[in-house]
Amino acid sequence: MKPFTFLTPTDAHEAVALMAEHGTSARLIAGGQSLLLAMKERTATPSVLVSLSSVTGLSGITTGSSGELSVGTTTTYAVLADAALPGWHAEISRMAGDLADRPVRTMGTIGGAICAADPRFDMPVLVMGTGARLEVLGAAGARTIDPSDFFLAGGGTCLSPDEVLTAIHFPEREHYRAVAFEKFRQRQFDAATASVLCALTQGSDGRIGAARIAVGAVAPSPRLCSATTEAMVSGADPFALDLEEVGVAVAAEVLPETDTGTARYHCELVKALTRRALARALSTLGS
Amino acid sequence: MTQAPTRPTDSQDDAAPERTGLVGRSVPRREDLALLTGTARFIDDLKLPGMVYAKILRSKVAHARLRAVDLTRARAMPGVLDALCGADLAGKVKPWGDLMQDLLVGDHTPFATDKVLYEGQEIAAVVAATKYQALDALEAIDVDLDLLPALVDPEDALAPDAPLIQEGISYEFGNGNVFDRYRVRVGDAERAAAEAAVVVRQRFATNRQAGAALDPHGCIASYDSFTHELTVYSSTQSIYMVRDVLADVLQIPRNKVRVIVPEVGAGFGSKAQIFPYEVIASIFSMRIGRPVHLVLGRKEIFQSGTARNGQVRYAELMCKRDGTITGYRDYVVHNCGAMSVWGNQVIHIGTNVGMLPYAVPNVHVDSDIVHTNTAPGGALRGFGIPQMIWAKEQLVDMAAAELGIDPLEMRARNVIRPESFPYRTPMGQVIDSTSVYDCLHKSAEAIGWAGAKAEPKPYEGVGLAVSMKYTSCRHPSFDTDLSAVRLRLETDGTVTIYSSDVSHGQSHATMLAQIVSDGLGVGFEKITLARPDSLTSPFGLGTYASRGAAVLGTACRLATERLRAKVLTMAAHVLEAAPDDLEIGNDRVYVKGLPDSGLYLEILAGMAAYRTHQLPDGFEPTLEAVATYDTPTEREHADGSGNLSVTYSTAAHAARVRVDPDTGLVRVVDYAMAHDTGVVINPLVVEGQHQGGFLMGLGMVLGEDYVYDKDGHLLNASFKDYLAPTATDMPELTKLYEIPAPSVTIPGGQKGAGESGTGPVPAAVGNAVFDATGVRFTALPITPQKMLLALREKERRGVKTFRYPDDMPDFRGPRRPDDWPTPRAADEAEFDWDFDDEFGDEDGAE
Amino acid sequence: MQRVTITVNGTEVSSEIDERTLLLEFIRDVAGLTGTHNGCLEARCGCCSVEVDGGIVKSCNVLALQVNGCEVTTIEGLSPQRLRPVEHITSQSLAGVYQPLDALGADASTLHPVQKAFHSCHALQCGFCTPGMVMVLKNYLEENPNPTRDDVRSAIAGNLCRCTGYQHIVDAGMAAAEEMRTSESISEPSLAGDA
Repeated sequence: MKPFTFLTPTDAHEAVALMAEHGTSARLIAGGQSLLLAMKERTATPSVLVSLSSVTGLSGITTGSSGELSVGTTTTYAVLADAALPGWHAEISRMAGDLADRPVRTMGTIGGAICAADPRFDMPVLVMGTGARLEVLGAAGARTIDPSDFFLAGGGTCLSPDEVLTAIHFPEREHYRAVAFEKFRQRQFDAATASVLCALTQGSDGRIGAARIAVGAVAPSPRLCSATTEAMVSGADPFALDLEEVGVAVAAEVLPETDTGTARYHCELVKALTRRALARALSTLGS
Repeated sequence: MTQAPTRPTDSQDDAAPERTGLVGRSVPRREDLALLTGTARFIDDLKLPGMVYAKILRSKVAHARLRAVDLTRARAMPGVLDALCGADLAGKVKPWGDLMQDLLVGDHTPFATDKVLYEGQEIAAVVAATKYQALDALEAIDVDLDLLPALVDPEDALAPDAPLIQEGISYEFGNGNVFDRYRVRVGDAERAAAEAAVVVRQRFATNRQAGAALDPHGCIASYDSFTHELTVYSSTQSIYMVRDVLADVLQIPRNKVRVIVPEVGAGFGSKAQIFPYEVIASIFSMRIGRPVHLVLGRKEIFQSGTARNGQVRYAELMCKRDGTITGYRDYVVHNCGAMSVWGNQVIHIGTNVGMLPYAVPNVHVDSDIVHTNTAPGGALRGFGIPQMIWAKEQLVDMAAAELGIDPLEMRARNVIRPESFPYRTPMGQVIDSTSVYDCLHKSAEAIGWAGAKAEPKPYEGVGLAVSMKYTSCRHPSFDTDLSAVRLRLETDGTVTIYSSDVSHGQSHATMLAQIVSDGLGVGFEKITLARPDSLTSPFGLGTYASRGAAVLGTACRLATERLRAKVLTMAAHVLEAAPDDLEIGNDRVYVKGLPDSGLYLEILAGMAAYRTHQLPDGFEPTLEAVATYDTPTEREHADGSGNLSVTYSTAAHAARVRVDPDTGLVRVVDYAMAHDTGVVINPLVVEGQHQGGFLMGLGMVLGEDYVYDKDGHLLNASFKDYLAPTATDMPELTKLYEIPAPSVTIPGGQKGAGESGTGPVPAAVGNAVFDATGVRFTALPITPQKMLLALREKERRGVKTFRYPDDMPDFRGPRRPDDWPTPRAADEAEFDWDFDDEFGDEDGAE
Repeated sequence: MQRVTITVNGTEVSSEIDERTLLLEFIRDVAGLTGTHNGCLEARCGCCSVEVDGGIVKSCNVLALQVNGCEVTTIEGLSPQRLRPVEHITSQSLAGVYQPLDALGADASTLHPVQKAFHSCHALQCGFCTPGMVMVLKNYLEENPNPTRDDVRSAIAGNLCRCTGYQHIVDAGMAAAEEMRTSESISEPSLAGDA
């Protein structure tokens, strides 16, 4: 680690002001589970750390009047995993309780993972797949960003140095009939080798309404498969859906045209995980 | 998968009523309390007055000409006390090196001097008041390098135009990157092949694997500038190896170097040698006169610690129609990395002992032992046997399939079952006892072998493998296999055990106390094992090669017997009784039949030390005894045969695996281990050794690997990317069976336990994976990616079975002499090439 | 340099530290408790696991500054040693003449149930991963008193052990869970009949 100054603002505007003041030499730290690894390796060498842990109002889970679920950026995986959330929101808890390991979940935060924007992490796929809105506070004021804009295709996020992710707003419980996330990693505490999240709404006629499928870990950023879902899933009869075919289409949509062993493996995994995620979501749909 | 554990209980022990002593019981460990409460002190926990911190700058490239190292800026950094690089020490330290080549070659130096040979090699070091200051100073060292092409693939090292790694070293038996050779000529393999009903052949490749002991390698060196004594606390498996090499390297007397071990957090072979950091810390301490702390980081250990030697084996097994194995032929490219201390020996031991448990009459092995620009090769749990078994036990399955014989039956027909023991195999091993036949059947039965074969389930399969393991370290260049114990009956009736063999998980303090307690009749709680310290411990080789229970245990037994004889002689004098009428037990010596009378040992010991005029005439005062035990093992003969081990433990394993056809994940869902470890001193401890041995085998077959890119960068030098198995990757290991065939050679009947559990694992899992999927893996490890791609390739080709990776040459079918790889440096008769023609002389090194 | 105050095992420890100081380093170098081990510094091996305000963390991946003001429990805090009479193990003890001296110590009976189970199940060999394993299991079992064996495996999935193959550690986890359940129920008022 290189020497740094550790600052502990107590409100979000103060944090933003500090970030604006120190620019690119400053980094935000929430749980620090990714950042500290990089700092110990000296691949990240901030001279200022702005801690979010004392900032009020950034942690916790609330349900708004419209039913949307708001999660503060410094909410830890442990808290998310223990929250008894109803409906499809339960999938958020399941995901938060099934990543990394127990000690890392104590410190690691949802906002930290999203801003680290590692495509192998589960939280970026979660927000991409469910279309959660990301609330950001910057020197120029607050704005809400769609995950498709938040994650840059080549990796990283669209945040400017002075901006702080403050909350993640997930669609209300009724919005999706089913959300299912499937991933593969060799060991339980490894980041995903590939992951797929599938979110489905259901029309009154029983058919699938709008569908979203997001894929993680196979590209520099989480990928949303809008072409496949529009062409094959949205509006489809859940009983007639050919999962294998959807899997093939999803893999074709997100994977680059390369023939390395890893690319072929990713392709196989995306197909299988898409099938598994869809099957699980559809079983909820049918229930 | 949730099963009730089986645990040896007292009631089970009571089932053997004749057993009255502690040997054979699962006595709770003496070591535990300090380790459980955090009071045990490992190397990084020690703090000496005035201690300062050293850090090493390591090469970021694998192969380069080292032009210059400039320490000027680093020396000026805050807190920096000293800095060193290779040029500072040139001509002042004696290089050390490969044990096979020790007199001729010293390829190890504290720092790279003119060339960098692998990523992570030491280039310079600094010592500073704090760790952070030392790390900061490393960044101020300027290094001028000219990159050279890196050699990663061991077979590429054979090419005449391959970049030369070790320059300027005259090898006794090699040249260029082929730095040594190994061969076996037993019987007539040519003829065995000609007469065989079936010959199966395949190229097998094995991976590099790290010991990855969680307690990092490290030391603290402290030099006393008045007495010129250098004290080194080191996390090592062998204090005398460190002491003797260190003294020679620094050119100071061996009795001025004192090596002490703190608690050592495991080694698995990876700490069984001296390392540059021990030399660097010592030199710093000698220069600045302060204790120097130098503990390595995890990445450094992956890059520059030793790793299991990778091998490429072109192996061939010959069988008769009835399944009898008649011959084995192999050409091995043995990867020792850029340098080695032990790595060279691995091929000898692994191949010789790896031939067991079959008495193969015709064996022909050639090996080229090569350097590559990768981490040094060295000792790791199993010492070459898992590699050999991986190839041989898969060939056995392939031959069985060819012959239409069940793999269990095939093995049953071949495992050693002599009419009498000791039995000498054609390879020269003297088998003093074994229950391998029973072990084989027990493990197969426990896994449900017959049922699984009768009703195969899709993507589920079973596999077997058998291996035997040596209990000795007499290697071709290491003509010794001794351990020693000194015992002192203290004047209050307690006993102190001195030994230099470092316990780093093997439970010496418990195991030796069990032996002493039984032999001297002293209460277990009164016996203490002193920490290994080269100033006070009797000379011994160290803890490796599964020697603890058998060799050290025997030294302890002999010392106990000597002490007992001394005690009885003295007691007979005091009690005016014949020694034969006396019994020892219950902390006292008594006349047989009167256990509540007699003399307390403390009275005798007190008398022997403080009232010596009461001693019998000629009785040497004090009650101490020393015993050194060296095994009756042989050196390797010129034809590669020989009895390299005092006794051989046996492991027969049976695996049931399930393969996920979607992800390629291979899970071992059931596993049975039947072992012959001879007389077991502490069953629970031995059970733990077998389970730990299995973990290393599982890691080797399903994930652990040194992944290098073409430039020689190690891509997975962290626990994040290095796939060490976790608790969720393991099957329940409750099907453990000891079928003891006590060693006849070892007085107490023990056999080595530590490494026995590793040998068969990769092959058993590999055979099970074939049974489950029809894919015969020829290269390790079997990662999910490789598994899934193999399944797809198999579907694409529309075959029922195939070998993978398929870019390997397929050696099935009739063999012609010219389709066999030609050894580069292997055959003594053909060893007549002109080196200058072969390798050129462009660097002017010769 | 910045002042940090952390309560370690009930004792307040306060010091001016380099901002870079990890909680692991604070515990080891400032508080002087070396039972918390540094096995990788990569938040992988789990040897450095400690409790912070009741939650389990890998202390190599937390800055001491991040937990300023918090309560930390380390392996040394699980079964505090206490002053007790020295046990005489020699036959010729003078116990009948003099009272034994008091000395700090602990024995198997004063250990935390998880430590006790590790001892009886031979769940440790070299013992380097043990403090982390014990801390994670203690934290897990307090929240999950009725685990399956697979649950215990998942709980320690972030802790590496190279010696044991984990089998005896899982055994110990199950045995400790049982004892913790039992001692939980007997710590209710009725202590009578406790063997």
